[in-house]
Amino acid sequence: MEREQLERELSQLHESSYGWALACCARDRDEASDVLKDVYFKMLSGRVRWDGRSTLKTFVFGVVRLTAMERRRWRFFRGRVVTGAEPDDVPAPSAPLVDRQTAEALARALAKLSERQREVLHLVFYEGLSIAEASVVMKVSLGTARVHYERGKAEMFVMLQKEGVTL
Amino acid sequence: MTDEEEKLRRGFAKLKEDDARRAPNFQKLLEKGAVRSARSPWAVVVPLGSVAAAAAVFLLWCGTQRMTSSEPTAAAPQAAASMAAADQPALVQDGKQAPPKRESDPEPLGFLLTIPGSTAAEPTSFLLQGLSR
Repeated sequence: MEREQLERELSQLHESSYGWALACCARDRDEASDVLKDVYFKMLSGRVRWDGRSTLKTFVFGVVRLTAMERRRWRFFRGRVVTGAEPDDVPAPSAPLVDRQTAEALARALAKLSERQREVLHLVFYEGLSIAEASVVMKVSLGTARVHYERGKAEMFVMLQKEGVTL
Repeated sequence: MTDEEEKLRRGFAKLKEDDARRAPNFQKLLEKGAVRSARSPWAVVVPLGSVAAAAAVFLLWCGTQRMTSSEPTAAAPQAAASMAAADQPALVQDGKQAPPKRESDPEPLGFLLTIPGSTAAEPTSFLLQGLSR
């Protein structure tokens, strides 16, 4: 695939990729942006190549996940620990207040879940994948993905109830 | 889909809208490029660790070699002293001399090799004596 074409495809996937990067970085927006920068650099410079065996979206999601893991390891060795990020103080423009509050409460609850639970819930509810498709992206068995899905869903509801948020 | 799942889907849809509004600009991310190399830390840790392990093994081997080469000179006087002590009669704790050691038989099983009757006079010897008279 030519660079221009790849750039166009990545641009179309940008919002989904950013959402996935957030899920892989415990909702840390700065870290998610840095991960995406690295991913785009890797793909456009040819360091990683899409061979067409999966969809481009699945491939990009895999690269995002691995890049986020690499950066986490680096942070571990450097001694810098990034905890689950709080939502930005700056409100998103033109968002109704109620929706924004719900989104922020959901983001806080997601950041408190385990990595696997956050990933499977994101892929199913945010990206609209089935649990089987999510298990492929996460590189785990379908049974494992189901367990994380059920537990994550239950924990999510408990946390949202504690915050008094109704969806 | 259950009611709970439908609620979660609606909540996630709001989150997705919020994220889309806050997403960084694609072109800006491309312009900035990679922030820093995300090379795996193992690429540094593994070679360093193996070099350190090799150095430790080498030092250990050197130490072992030195100890084995110095052992005979250090142990010789000690061995001579222990041999001399063995020749002296042992003393018991109250100062009395211990009974002398029983001499050991140099050939404890030698009697098995002796032929019965070989030490007594042979039965035909008197005949030979009579003939000679």
